[in-house]
Amino acid sequence: MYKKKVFFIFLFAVLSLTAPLIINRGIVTASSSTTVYISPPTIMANVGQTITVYIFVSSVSDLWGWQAGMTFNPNVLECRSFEESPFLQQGGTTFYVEGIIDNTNGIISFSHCVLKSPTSSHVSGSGNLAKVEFRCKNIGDSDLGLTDVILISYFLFTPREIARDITNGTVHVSAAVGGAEIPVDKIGMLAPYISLASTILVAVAATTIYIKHVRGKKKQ
Amino acid sequence: MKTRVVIGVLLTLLLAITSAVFNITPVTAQFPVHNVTQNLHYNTLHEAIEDPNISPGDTIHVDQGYDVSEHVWIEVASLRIIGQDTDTTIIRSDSPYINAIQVTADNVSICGFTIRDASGNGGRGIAIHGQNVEIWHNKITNCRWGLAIYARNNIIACNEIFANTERGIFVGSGANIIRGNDIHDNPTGIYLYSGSDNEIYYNNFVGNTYHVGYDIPDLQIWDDGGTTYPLQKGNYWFPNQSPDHGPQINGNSQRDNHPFVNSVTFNEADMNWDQRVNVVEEAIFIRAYLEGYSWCILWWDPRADLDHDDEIDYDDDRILGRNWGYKDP
Repeated sequence: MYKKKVFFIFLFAVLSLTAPLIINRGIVTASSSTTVYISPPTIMANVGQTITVYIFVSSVSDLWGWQAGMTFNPNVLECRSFEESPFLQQGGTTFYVEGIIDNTNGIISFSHCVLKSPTSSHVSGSGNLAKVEFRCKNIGDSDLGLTDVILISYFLFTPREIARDITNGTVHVSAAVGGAEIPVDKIGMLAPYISLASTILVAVAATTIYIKHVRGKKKQ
Repeated sequence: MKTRVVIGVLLTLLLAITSAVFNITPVTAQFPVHNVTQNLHYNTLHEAIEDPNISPGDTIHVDQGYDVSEHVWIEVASLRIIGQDTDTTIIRSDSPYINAIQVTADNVSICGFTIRDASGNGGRGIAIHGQNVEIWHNKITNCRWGLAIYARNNIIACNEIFANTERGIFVGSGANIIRGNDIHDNPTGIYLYSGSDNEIYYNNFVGNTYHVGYDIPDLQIWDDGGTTYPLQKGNYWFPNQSPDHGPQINGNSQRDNHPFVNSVTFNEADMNWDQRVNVVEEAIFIRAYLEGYSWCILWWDPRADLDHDDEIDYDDDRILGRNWGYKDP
């Protein structure tokens, strides 16, 4: 009986500790360097559709402000908007200015966003910096190239740049009828919830077994 | 009614007489040094720094017209010390043999002063022993060594370091940024004693007997890392002291491969002297504009006062706006 009890407790402990690690493996990036990239990296779409891409930053520490611009193929895409996403707002009120969209040459001059107040908090982690909408106007391919990307921290008198890598994106526009196919990492998106649910499930099961075991022992 | 008027006049007279007798004048006129964080006022910067009430993070402003012989040794971290006008806010070393300003704490900023007369053996205008210290918009002259750096990760920017008696800048550590300075008419402009990876570019080296001296030829960074000329730029050297301009340390292993043809200048809205006007300038401007737009307000930042009228206002915003996105070349 004692062996069983020890076994269950051991099983419970191991499952509780490892479940989140196993389930979350899809979204925890091992990279320690800060990267600014286009998400999703590749989009398949059809003429006439509107697509949305995000400028995403991962593993950033102490972000106070950012700027980024973009280039695209103006024969294939038409930029509709370049808007701030809420990642930096975790630190406080922000000041955002949208860059100039030049659909003739396929250039979006850099937009920028900074925290306003000296008492704001720096933001760390990963998240969306900006949301960009395009209309697919012709068949073809377009690279989405990030330009003028700067991330800053501002602890002292002079802001300092944060070292970062950049990864660009691509859009393939075809004439086929149907919805846009945007690859999504479903497992990755659901991972935190699956992880939490499985941990709770394991905990409840182990507790139930343990209680039954104790009651059985008492009856004896 | 008449009685009230008489009483009013009498009270006004009484107030005027009292003010005259007791010499009541605004506190800022009496005391040129202000700890604006704590609303404390002093006769000298030395007094302000030595005050036991001073705390890390305090901001100290020194009014223009200040001209005092003293030494200022800073041991409290994260102080921001701002002179109102570089030419007329003057600290003279009270002995030629000691450092006029010595920083042993981290995260200290000093700007807007003329620092001079530490010209004896061992005298330095500013000696930096702390990290993340920022020294900018100062004039340093008639010191044995104008500025001596003994620690890492400091920024020395946009200073005029001239006519010192031995060395303009002494570098005794690595990973510092030395950018946008006018280093002229010194026996040695910059002396590299130890430390590597100091970023030394966008400076004007003019009229020094030797622009660069060195003890150990550690590797330094002499240009801005651009990939191709003219994107890659170094310093301005006049007169040229070698066929390739600038330093030739250890033969040709270290030299400025991309010197400026003419003296280095900066865009009027470039607040961090990196030849660009971008989100860095916006961050500096927004903080100063929203939190302290006139002199002696806590978040006053002279870099954001682009039209130099002692106010950070819409006019400065317009200057920033018209230069927005500037990038050289």
